[in-house]
Amino acid sequence: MTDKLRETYKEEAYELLAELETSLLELEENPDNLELIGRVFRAMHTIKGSGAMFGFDDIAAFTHEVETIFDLVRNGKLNATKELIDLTLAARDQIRAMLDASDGNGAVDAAVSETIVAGLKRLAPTSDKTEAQAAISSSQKPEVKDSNSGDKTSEITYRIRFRPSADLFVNGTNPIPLLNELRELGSSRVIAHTDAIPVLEDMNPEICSTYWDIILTTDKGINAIKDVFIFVEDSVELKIEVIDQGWADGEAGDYKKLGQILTERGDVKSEDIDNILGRQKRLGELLVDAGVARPGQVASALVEQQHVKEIREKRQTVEAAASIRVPSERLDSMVNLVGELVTVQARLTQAAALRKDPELAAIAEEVERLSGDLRDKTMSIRMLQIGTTFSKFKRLVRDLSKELGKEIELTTSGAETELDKTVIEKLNDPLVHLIRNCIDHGIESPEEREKEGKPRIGNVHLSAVHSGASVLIDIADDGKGLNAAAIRAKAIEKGLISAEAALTEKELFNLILAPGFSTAKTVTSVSGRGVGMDVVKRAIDELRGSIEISSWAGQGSTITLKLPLTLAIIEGLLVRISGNFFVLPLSSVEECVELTREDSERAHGRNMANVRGQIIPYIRLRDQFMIIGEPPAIEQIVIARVDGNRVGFVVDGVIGEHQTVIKSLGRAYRDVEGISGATILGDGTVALILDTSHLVATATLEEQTLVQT
Amino acid sequence: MKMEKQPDNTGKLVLTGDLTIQHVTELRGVLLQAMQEVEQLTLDMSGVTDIDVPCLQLLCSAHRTFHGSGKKIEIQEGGPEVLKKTMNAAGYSSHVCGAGEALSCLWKGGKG
Repeated sequence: MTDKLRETYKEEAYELLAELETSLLELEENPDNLELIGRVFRAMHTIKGSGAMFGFDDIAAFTHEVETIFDLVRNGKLNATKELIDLTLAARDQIRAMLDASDGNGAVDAAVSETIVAGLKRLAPTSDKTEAQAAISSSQKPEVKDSNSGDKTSEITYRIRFRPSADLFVNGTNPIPLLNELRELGSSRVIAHTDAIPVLEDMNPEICSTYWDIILTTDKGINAIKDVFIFVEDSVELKIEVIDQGWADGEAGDYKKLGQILTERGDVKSEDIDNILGRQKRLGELLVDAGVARPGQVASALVEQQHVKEIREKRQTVEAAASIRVPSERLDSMVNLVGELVTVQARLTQAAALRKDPELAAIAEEVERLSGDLRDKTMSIRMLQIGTTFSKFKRLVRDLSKELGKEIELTTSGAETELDKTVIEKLNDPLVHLIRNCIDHGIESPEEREKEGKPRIGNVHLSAVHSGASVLIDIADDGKGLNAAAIRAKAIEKGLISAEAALTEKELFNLILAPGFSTAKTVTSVSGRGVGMDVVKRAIDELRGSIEISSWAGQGSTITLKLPLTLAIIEGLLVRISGNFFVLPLSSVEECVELTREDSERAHGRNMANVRGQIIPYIRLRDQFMIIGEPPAIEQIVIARVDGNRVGFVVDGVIGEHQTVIKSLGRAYRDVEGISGATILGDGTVALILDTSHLVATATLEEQTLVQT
Repeated sequence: MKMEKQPDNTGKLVLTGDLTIQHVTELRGVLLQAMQEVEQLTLDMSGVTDIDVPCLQLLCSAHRTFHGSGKKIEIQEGGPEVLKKTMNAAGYSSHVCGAGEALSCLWKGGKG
């Protein structure tokens, strides 16, 4: 049991550390943001607190030291300087190392902890100088405190009518501090009523003719409210009523009708309301027109309605946002089961169609609909926002640019874009590599940039956006761009292209994805260690994605990764060759055309087809997979877009769309090229899923060797 | 505190310094006089360094009075920060003008 708790703690601590890192980096940009300081403090506080509870005493002790310093920052006694943030980030890494070591994997260097703590303590005594910091917008502070004071459910909403006696001002009382004290108790709205103010002639300006309605949501209780008025008790008429108890009672999000509020307050008689309701106009206007309520009273009641509505809605979203933790293996096995279910459902539909039994057909249809919904829901559970990955890179960019003496900022967009969990996990390494490339090769040193007339600070922009069944991830920098001439020279040197080969810029750029290609003259610790872009290419291929490179000399380059939304189920196009079935990913298929025997004879043995004047190379899958038998007189070419080119795949026949649950082929078939997986069809037969880009690469290679011999 | 009267029967009142309860009686006098003399009064409050609830009340009352006799009163754009702050603090920003919805509230200009 304890072990399980410790595991949970660790899981949580890792998440908190990630949150801590993000908050610290944000804090570096906005050192005065109290909300962020609060977040940093809370993360550390939780790590410390639960750490001590589950026996991670070293972590608790160490975190305590760091937390102490941050307490000073929170109280405005210490500035969140760059130095402090550097140290805190180091502390964060140290806590992480301690967590890692708690499994017995390696030991933590206690000296590092001591250095960090000593460094932090050195920062602390400067607190006196920065006392002024304490003054920063004291009005914002209660907000931080509020979000910290845990139990939300005990919050009660009050309606306070504060009617001072006429001599309030003469007695030297200023009502504003009183109102401010109420505001500090919680979320509030203050409405002044001015309807009792007389005209100038009748006015004694030293008499208080304003009164107030305050709607206040607080967990401090009614006595705290009364305490605010304790010194003016005698010259104040106070009416405090509870208007919301703090728990959802059935009709959450909905609050009393306007008329009800006004009658409750004694501003309007209920008979008047009933009377007026009969006329079916907006109640507020009607009440004013009829002269039973003054506009100020109506407005104040509307504000109350709004306030309570909002806090109830907020409470509801808090309740709705409650989530449960599920181990990801359980999710994976659920996806597998849903996959099986979809397969069985396909069989059922097929069987029902054969039986011609309307009752069975109806049931099959229902099952089809339900399993479709279930599939979508299951898939959506696995979807994660890519933002978590993005925020990790902030640290990477910060540390690397420091190391290389460059000034670089990372901006991101589309952090809320959702991708399958597995895809996100596998995307991490390629993205790290690409970002390193941007920083190392792409962006120039600050001096060089200034010479070029660019801003000193370079920019790396990460963005993610949905595009059909795929997600596009852009990694863009505003550096010097790819050097086409250098790439060409290197490619010739490596024997990748011949000296006289005429390549478009795009083709040239694609060469950097070839294995062993690196144009960096000096090997730095960051990149250029021989592991080039081919690693990225391979990783993206594994994810069934593609890479596109664009670059503008002197202006920067953009690398676009196109990735499928999910790896578990794809929309496929089912095709047939003799008795064998194959699936092509539908997202890349563009069209299907017929190929007659005359057509192929006319091409003189070259695998080229003329489609509306455009020459399309094609691959005969029958030959490729060495399937014995005579092709039919009319074959089909499925034209797909592979790595930016249109390529045809010749098959005997096209069957149609197919929801493809991807099964991996297992160890024995790992080295089979041109196949990326398999799926089970409705009748139980197996169809292979084609790896189009691999097929094209193989065919190109064969063609080249053929030409050379 | 003195109003400058223009030939076209408009007036401008420049208010400066602390506009607090010590000055309300004087201000009321000036406003009453302005009521007699001009059709339209502009208040230049950009030099105001402090304002309190009695003065807010008084200005509200002036607004009501001017409107009551078909005259105009307005606060010149670019009122001081302290005016906005006090109005928010005193809940005046979310009040509904007692002069009725048909009339534009004096504060809407200063509220920003």
